[in-house]
Amino acid sequence: MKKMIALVLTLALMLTVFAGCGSKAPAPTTEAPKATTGTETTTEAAPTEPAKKDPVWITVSYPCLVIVPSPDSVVAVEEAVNKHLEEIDSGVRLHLEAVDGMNYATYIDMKQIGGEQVDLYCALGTMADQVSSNKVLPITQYLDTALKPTLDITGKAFLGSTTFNGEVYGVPVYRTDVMTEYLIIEADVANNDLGLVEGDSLTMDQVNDVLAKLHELYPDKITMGVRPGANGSPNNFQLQTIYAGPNYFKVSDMGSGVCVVGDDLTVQNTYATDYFMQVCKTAYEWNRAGYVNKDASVATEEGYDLMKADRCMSYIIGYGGRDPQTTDAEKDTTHGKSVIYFPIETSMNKPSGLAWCVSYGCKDPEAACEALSLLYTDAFVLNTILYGVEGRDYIDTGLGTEEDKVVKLPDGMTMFDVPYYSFFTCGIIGNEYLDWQRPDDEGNVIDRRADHQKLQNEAVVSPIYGFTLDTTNIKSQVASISNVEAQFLGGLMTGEMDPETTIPQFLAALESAGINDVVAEAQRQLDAWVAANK
Amino acid sequence: MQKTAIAPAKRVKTGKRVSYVPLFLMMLPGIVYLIVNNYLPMFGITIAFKDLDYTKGIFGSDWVGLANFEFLFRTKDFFIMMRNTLCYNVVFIFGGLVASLSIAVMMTEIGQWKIAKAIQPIICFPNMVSIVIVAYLVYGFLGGDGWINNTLLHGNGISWYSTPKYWPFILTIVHFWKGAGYGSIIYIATMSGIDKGLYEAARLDGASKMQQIFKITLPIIRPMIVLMLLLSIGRIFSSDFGLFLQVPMDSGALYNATQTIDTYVYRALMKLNDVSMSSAASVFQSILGFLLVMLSNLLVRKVDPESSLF
Amino acid sequence: MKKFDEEKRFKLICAIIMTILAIIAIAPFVLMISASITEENTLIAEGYRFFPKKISFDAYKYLWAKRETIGRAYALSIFVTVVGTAANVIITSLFAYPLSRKDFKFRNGFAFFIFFTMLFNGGMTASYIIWTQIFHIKNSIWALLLPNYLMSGMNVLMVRNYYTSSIPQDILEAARIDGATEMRIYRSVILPLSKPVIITIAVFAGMAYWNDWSNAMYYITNQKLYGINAYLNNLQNNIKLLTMQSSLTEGQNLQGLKLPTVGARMAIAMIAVLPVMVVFPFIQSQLIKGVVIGGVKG
Repeated sequence: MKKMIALVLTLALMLTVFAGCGSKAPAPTTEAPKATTGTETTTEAAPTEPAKKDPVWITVSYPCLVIVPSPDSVVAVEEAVNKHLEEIDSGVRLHLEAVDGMNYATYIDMKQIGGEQVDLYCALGTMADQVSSNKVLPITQYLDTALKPTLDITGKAFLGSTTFNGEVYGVPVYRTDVMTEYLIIEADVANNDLGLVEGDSLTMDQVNDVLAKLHELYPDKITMGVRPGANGSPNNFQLQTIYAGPNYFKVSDMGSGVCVVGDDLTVQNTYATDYFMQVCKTAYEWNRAGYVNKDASVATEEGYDLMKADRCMSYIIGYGGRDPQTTDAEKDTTHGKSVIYFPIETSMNKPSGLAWCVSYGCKDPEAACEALSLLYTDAFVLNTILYGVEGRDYIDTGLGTEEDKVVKLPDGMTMFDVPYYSFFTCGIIGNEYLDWQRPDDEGNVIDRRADHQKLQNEAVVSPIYGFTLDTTNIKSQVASISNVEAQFLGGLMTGEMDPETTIPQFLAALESAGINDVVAEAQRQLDAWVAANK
Repeated sequence: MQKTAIAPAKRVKTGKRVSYVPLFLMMLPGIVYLIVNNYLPMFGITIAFKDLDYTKGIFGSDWVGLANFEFLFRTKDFFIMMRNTLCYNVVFIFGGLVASLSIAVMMTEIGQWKIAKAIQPIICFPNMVSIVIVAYLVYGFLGGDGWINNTLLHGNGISWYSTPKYWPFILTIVHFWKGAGYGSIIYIATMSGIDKGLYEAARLDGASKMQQIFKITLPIIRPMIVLMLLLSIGRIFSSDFGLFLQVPMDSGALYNATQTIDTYVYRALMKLNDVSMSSAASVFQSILGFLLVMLSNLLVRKVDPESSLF
Repeated sequence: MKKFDEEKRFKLICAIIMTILAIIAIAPFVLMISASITEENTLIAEGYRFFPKKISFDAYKYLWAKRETIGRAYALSIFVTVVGTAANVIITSLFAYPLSRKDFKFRNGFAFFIFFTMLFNGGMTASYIIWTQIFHIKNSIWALLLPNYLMSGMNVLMVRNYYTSSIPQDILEAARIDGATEMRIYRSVILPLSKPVIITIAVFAGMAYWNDWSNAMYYITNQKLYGINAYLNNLQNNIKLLTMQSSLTEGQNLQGLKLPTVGARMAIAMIAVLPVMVVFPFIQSQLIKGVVIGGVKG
């Protein structure tokens, strides 16, 4: 069962990660190449003859999704990276370890507790736990040295989510974390029946009207497809992310059933708020009106699959950044018909839950930080990890620049044929805005990285940006609350349960599970955090 | 190994006492394996009582007493999950016994017929399908647009996945469908070891088929039945995680009927991923199971020493 | 004469009941096969049908494209299952024999020694440490063979029980008086007489090895050492990921194959159990044959 938990954790996190992948913003190229070398630190360590100092080997264990390159193929990638590092006179050399993303958390955990060498790894959203069990080393002292190049790009506030009791324990992945929720409707239906055109955005009132209209026109079909929850999270209509958005209730969720609403820094029980009532009421109305699939809370088919099978008229889905699909052709294959994505609401900006850490067993944390910094600043290192060796695994189309290439797979090869392919690791490692671009089927390069960075920069920032709830002292309450949530959330968020009668039961169950302890603990931590950050 | 066994074994002929040396040698591979695979890692049990600190290692981490067990007992969920785990297991154990034994008797009965060769493997097939697939098939039957609602009930469907009262039956049926055939193999094997002459004699004495089953077959395989019972009692606090979580599609509305200790722990630790707490849960299950088996074994030893576990 | 009629009637009733049970057992398989060859959209629109309305072999085409990997994984799984099962059966039956001997003073002690491992375990973390730190089995074939499945306490106790109850003590006594060594008694008396139970534990052990994917998950990082179930398990998770984010998969890279999700799930499940379904009847017919031999010898 342990392994199930780990798998679910990994999967759930990977999926959130995935959402961000379509987006790439231009690299802050001015700083990057110079900063890469990390010579500053090397010089400090051995001021007289930096070149003579033996480079330090650092193991980088990164998760690979879908395709896990074989160890043989990784060797060549490693060589390419290290040759580059030698050229730029870096003080570190990387030992690369491509790990199956499905087992990543378990694999790293086992290696750590077994005392095997782990240096740099990605903590999949469980930072507080990693810190409390001392799996990670504090890296605060290297912020101004080895990690300086990275912080020049990201800024220090970025480290809030990895800071515990004044010590920094990791660097989050730098990427577009702002999600946009879209209502997806078949193009013909939207244009002809609803009078909507591409580029329109919708408010919730409009969404309600659209659904009513769709239901009236196509009574035999599911008006609104509910999507299956990603392992463990309940099935829903994305209503909670929409209503938590800056145009509605502006909720900053802390997890474990607590949140702050608006700019008020009072911690609240999420499920006792007007926000949650609104989410459940809307869902309940939709369900009563007959818009949704039967047995919505245990639905197994994805919205686009239902649409392709002509069973549903619309569904809501969230993507990182704007316009998630790269080409119209792809939208069409996924849905089996031409569709339009209508944005509804954009989420607030908060740092990614994925952070890279230095494992407790690392012998040279400073060198590890230097290596970590490479992932945020050196496009070659990062992209070689993603794409492999030039000529063998990818070819340069020449459409980009030397620093910022546009690459594609060798002719006639698919991602399953090349020896090394790890592109799905993008968004889980380093600086997403440095990822090289690929041309689409027609050979066009659509670079959305600038748009995404703009979106990120302009997004409404949560008043508790960077705060992470440390559950160490309230573990057993959190465990019980998870169970209560599992019992009620699915039914409430899909509108199968009447919120007027069910929410009071839900709240009573939460209370006996210890939600008040969590609220109190979260408030205490938040107050301390505010004091430290003001 | 054979050669070493020869020399000491010679003594058997002369002395009355049996030499244990060859016996120990035969057990050696098994003992070594148990030590390596099971006993050496036992130190891991201490994790349940510790606040794991990676820098200090498992041995060096601080003891925290029973703090890791607390989450099991916090709410009234404890009673629901205990009730479900125990009730389902009692039904599964005794119902499974009856089902497997009946299948074994019937299979043995038609053993010489050609058709048995086909039936025998087929009844074991369900056990080979992974529980996830079983869950999808069940959903195909019971889902909102599933076969039962569409074809049998013609649209006035039942929402199976939000009505707890059906689930004790559904889960029991699925469990027996999956396991009864496979569980009968061991009884078929044991029954096939019974001397056919006994039945021949009974038949001549005019014993009916039922009498043969109850007077000959069951008494002879009794030790095996008792063994299987004792072993399943040891696991009475554990549950088939896939059956209770995946088959009901993790539906919260069915919580009262489907929550067992294992699903509770899974749902509790989904976000925490805490090694100490999950290990505490399994220690809790083991200790209770262990005590129950010791007690039952004591009872068995009083009544029927031949069948006792040890 | 009347008695024999009753016998026959009883057998007939048994045969009928068993046939019904067999149909119930196999029906979902038929559903599975039919789902795996149903066109994806039809499957989503209409659900599972025993006779698919629109047939498509996309799921199998997708798997066929991976035949090399699947073939290798099959070979590995077969090797591991055969070797592991053979070793398991030998170790188990050897271990069980002394425990079945009533004149062996420590039999109860050892039975407890075994039983204890069935209830208590140190957890995955501790096992991992022992296997990797002391025995260094990581990324080797040993990782698939050794942990967890080489011997199971339950099997030992089952075999012990079988020996005690089904092997006549006087045959053993006679053999001993003839001066046979323990090893000889085990080989020429015990083993032939215990064929049914040996087949049973071979089935249990074989299934455990065949179905296992957790050993691969913990101890193997090189996917070339994935057995069929580890591979298929992984593939299935990945298909899920791929379809969830098809925008990332670069249309052309999927070779124009529409990736079937539900169908693939079923096809994968079929591929995983197919060899077992083929081999199983042969093993099982041995079990039934064992009835005859046991009868004659007894």
